Amino acid sequence: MNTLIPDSLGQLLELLAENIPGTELLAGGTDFNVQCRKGVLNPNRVLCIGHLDELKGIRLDGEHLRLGALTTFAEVVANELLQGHVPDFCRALAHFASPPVRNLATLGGNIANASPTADSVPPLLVRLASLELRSVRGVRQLPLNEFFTGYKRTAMAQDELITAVLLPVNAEDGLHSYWRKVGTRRALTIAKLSLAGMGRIENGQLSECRLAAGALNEYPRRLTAVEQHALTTPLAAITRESLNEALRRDITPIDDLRSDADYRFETCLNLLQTCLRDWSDHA
Amino acid sequence: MSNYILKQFSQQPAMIDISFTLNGETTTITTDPLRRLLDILRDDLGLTGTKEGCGEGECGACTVLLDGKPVTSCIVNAVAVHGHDVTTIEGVSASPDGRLLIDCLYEAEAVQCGFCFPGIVMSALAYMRAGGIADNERIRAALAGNLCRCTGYEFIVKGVAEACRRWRDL
Amino acid sequence: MPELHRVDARDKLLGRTRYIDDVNPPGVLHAAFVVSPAHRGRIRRVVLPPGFDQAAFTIVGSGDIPGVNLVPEPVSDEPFLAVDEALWRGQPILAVAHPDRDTARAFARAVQVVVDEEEAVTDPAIALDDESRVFGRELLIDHGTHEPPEERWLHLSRTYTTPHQEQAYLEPQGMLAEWDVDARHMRVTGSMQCPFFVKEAVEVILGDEVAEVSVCQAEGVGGAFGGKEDFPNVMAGTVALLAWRSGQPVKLVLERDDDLLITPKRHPSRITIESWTDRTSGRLRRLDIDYRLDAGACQTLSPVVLARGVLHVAGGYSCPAVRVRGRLFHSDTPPNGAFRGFGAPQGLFALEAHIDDIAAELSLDPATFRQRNVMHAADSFPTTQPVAEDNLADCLNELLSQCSYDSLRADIDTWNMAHRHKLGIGLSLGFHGGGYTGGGETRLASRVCITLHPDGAAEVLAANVEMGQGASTTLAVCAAQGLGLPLSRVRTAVPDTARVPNSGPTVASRTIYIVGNMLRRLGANIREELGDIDEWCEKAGDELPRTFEATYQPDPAATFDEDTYRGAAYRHYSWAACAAMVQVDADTSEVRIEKMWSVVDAGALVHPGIAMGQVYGGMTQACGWSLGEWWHKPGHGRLGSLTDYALPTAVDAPPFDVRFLHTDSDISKGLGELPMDYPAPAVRNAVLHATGIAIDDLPLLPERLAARLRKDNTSVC
Repeated sequence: MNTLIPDSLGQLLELLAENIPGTELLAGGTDFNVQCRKGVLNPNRVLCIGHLDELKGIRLDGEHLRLGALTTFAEVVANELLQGHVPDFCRALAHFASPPVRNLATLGGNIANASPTADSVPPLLVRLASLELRSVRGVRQLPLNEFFTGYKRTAMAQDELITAVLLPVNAEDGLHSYWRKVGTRRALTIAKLSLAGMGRIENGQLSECRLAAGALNEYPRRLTAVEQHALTTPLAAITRESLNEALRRDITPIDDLRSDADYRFETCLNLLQTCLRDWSDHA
Repeated sequence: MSNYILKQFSQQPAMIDISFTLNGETTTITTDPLRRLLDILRDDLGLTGTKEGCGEGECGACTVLLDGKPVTSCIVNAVAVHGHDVTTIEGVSASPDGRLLIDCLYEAEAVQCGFCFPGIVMSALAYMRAGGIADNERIRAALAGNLCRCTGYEFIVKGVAEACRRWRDL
Repeated sequence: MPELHRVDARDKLLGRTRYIDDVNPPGVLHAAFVVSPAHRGRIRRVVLPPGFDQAAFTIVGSGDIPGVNLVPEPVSDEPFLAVDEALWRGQPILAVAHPDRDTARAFARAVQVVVDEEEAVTDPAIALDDESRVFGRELLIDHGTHEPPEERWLHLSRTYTTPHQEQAYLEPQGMLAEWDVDARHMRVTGSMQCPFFVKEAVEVILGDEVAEVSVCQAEGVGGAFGGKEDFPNVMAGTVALLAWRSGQPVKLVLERDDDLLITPKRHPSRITIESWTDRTSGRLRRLDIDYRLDAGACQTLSPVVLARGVLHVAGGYSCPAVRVRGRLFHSDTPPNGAFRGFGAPQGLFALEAHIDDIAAELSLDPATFRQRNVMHAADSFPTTQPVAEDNLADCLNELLSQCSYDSLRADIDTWNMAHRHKLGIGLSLGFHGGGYTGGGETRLASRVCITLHPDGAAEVLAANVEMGQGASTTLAVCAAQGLGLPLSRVRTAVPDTARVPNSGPTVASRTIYIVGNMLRRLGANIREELGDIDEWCEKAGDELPRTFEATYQPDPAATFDEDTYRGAAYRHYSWAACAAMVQVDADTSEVRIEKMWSVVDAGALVHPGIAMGQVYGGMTQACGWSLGEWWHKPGHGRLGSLTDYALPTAVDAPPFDVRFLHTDSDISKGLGELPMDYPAPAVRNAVLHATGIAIDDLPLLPERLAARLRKDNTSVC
């Protein structure tokens, strides 16, 4: 195994451009080290990026909040700029893993991992986040909901990396939000399922509705059928049955070590109902 | 941010020089950049106060402070330490708040087997230094990454709360 | 007198206490196990991996054992290293040692073990339902009246199950062996509960190759809870074999995933209780209990767990006819072993759940039903042993006032009418017999010593280890009380078989109850013999150091017939009552324990702070067992890390309100295990109160509760 420590983003991009199979990026290390130890990950080349200043920092960039890919969960939770613009997003990330892990784990790593259970992704999806991807070929922006293509698969090319997460600065303005993660215990837990939502209610009907679930598909994604149903139906006419029918088109939960398909489906349905009820109670 | 001096483009599994502040003293070692901070502390530097309980960042027994923030040293690599500041349990009694915390945990009868405590102390110290107050729920949240199998946490929370109270009164 | 704090606390807080992983003698080799990848089958061949300098490794298998390849146990049926058959996945087959720890581990992991896999049963539910899997001695308690049950009595029959529970001591198992080839002396140091058990294990595996074995507790033992009762025998036997073979010191520290895979757990249980209750008086008339434990692949110490299990499963209730049948069932999983409670938590879960189920059938408040049936003096245990005191009833009554039970329950019922998320309160009672079962303590014949040193210090010499429970402090306090010296003058020696007498293993809630009380009496006898100890020491001169010894004196009146299970199984019982308040989430069916109350009678407390810590810790382990801890999921294998094996964190553990009763007693009773025994059913009963759903299988997973809510078509919304 070969470990390389580029001293600039430019150098890193050149190394990535060599397109050597088995290359892994090491940022916060919270997943990398565990996967290597378990033998799940056997990289033949490791590029250390945790020190690259170009990938750090949270700032306002026009219409976007720009979060460098190396932004840790703890930095999101404590950042005043974010607390000012997207306070519910900060709160959602406050329950990730544990304090020591939040100080290490990075947003970019959590997303690039493309795990079905990635805790940051559902709240980012419903806030219409996009990613800044960079390679020697240039820079591009990709909406987060186009990033995942399958279980642990992404639309990122082999020579690319995530350099920043972009959040619309008004992502939470005038909107209700919802976030619930269900795990095996109250901290230090991997989600059995999670549900994030952003919505606006006008005249008894949702005029905006974005919902995303974690751990219920091969990657976290928007619940488009439920959203469509909710946007086209007066709140009073949305029933458990109608939500159930729409949700069946959106998620494909499985039985695994952590939970069961039936539980995941039904709990997601319950959470959807609670989410909509909370919003309409506060409309 | 530190002045990053590492440039390693050799195609061999490299040994690199890592410099960091350890319990207030500048420390330089030559090591594999992926070596775990935990192994550097325990095996290379003989600081065995930091414990390994699970090796995957779950139990918190290996918690140390990296630039003042608690991190699980079993999933921190050498490369992440270069140019940074590390405090381990061995460095706690050098500070007045550290000594106060130790005294309060001692008096609260918080310790049982003791294996998780080097980590508990580091998380609690970070909580105190972040201006933490004597609030049981907040203290519990701050300790949520440190598993203890012996105590049920009750006396730990009591000891940390007392330390917060006394530190503010100083 | 100034407040006394634990003598070991400050060094542990400062990270100065040396656990076995912190000890590396010069030239030490690091060891690792090669384990069976198959649940069961014939070991066809073992292929050493290429790419390693094999000459640099010491490798041992069963064929290298000069002594006997059987771990000493109550039933010695487990090999140190597998011979031809793999008996469970994770069974040690070879052990390897190398100067570099990571290399040793990588090599062990790369060894290819080829097994002709045979059909295996790893699901406790399947094993415990198959009577052809019964092995070992069946136990039967049946001394009550044999009148047929009356028609009008309420007849209820239900089956309750509990899962594996992992001890999850924060310090993984670790052991070091150092071989002095000239003296043929094997020195073993490590994380263990029972130094003299370990000594015997090393003598057994090395046979005539060793002239002397001495075993010392590592300075720090990072938690044990029963998990370091018998498995250290395997650890020590293996490192001793490697040290003997290599001539170098050898240390084995398990990685967490290996520790989870290889070592014993709490026995899964399946307990069927058939009860008859007089509807008019609300009194229990008859209990017929089928108590089953999944022992795993070997019996090892399971017969002893079974014994304690059948002796506790009828609970703290008065009933004129109790019949208990206890059996062990074989499965192809690691031999299950000791874990705090030792068969009692399984039994009390079933029984205390059943008590609530009867109360529900009779439409009686569970507290009222318990008050009508709780044991009093003049009642008797199922073994015919008379109950000596009313202390359990005292605990129950104190508990009900402590948590304002009646008004709290009424408030909860009102609250639940207006809220989606439901609250509930549940009760349970528990007891634990102190020390070894039956004639065990008589056979152990424990010895303790106190040495008076020239510097005026008294030193306690005993084999009971400090594993977090506070033994190094409490044993010193006991001796100091007897001697009439301040604690600062008394210290407890680190147990080392070369120095201390055999005061028995650190198990069975016996450290204070047996050994502590012996030390108190020995101290008092020394004071009586010498008069003022200070004066005597000043004059003693060359007589110092002087060592005084005492041997356990059994109570000739307390007899127990181990064939018929009649008589006094234990001399003293500790008692407790518990209440748990839970909230059940309407959306997720997650159960959150809001608060727990407990009243405990463990007699006189040697050290109130340490005693309280024991109760908090034991209750938290019970909370984990009740809600989230399990190890085997049918169809999905085993949980292999602390990520998924969900120990309670600081935000999961509830706040506790614990009180002790009868602390003015003249005896200190067992306390270590009791707080694990009884809280789980209180949580189950609280969920029953909150939702109307009686879950008979631990843990109370939200998946189980949600499925039942669906099936029963009751909505908590």
